[in-house]
Amino acid sequence: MRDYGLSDSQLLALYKNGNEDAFAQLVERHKNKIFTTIYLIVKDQYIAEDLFQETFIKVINTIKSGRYNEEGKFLPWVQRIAHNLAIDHFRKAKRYPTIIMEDGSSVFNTLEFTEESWENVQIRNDTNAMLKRFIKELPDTQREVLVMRHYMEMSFHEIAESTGVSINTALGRMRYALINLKKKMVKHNIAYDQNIYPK
Amino acid sequence: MIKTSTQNDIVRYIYDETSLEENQQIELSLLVDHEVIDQYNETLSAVSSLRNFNASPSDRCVESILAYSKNTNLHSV
Repeated sequence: MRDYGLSDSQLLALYKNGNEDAFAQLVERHKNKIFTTIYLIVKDQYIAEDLFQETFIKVINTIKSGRYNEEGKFLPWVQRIAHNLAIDHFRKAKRYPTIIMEDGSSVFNTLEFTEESWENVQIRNDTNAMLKRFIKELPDTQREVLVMRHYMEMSFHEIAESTGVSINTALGRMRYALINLKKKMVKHNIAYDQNIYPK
Repeated sequence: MIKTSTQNDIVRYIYDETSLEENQQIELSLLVDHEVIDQYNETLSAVSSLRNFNASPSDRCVESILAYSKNTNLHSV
């Protein structure tokens, strides 16, 4: 699908006027980030797809009934809906889903990934699969902060408020999540970006 | 041993949540303090990996959302 370079606000304005292609562009633009947020919480492709659809049903109904608040940005708004639905899923199930083990990895292998190059598709698939496993293995509190900061783009201040902890606790959890990820990557000899330069 | 507050500041710096003054302090440390440099590189490499990681919904899942939108016509409240 061609992206005409319109902002989210412009696409939303078109969608409100009945342009379904504009909505399709919004979905295409943000689907991976929103889906990853859900997936990393529920850790199951099929449940994540159900919640992803539920998220967009809420989005569509809110926009088409004229209840969308223009003050907020589109992606953070959708991400919050997605996150709340994923958390609600836990509360309804009254448990956290178990980590998928290697002998039950059929769901694991069905995921599609972006950022793949033709030359290195197998290496990238392996690396992504390992990274996905490492993220899923993080303690729940660390994974929650990681998802909120990295994929939902919430500030550490917002995360602290949302989770009822101090900003230093939120930062500490994020730091440990990154340290744990890095340790696992080193242990399993996973390649990572070596082109590191101070900004 | 690098201080916890410095470690937290590095995380905030990588995620662009530090002030200009804090940026200057951290960037100065990145020039002279090997512990800070190591911590920065370790943290940034993990963040870089996350930036390359994305899961995707199936095409069927996306198509059903677009179909729902086309078939939904709600009146403004």
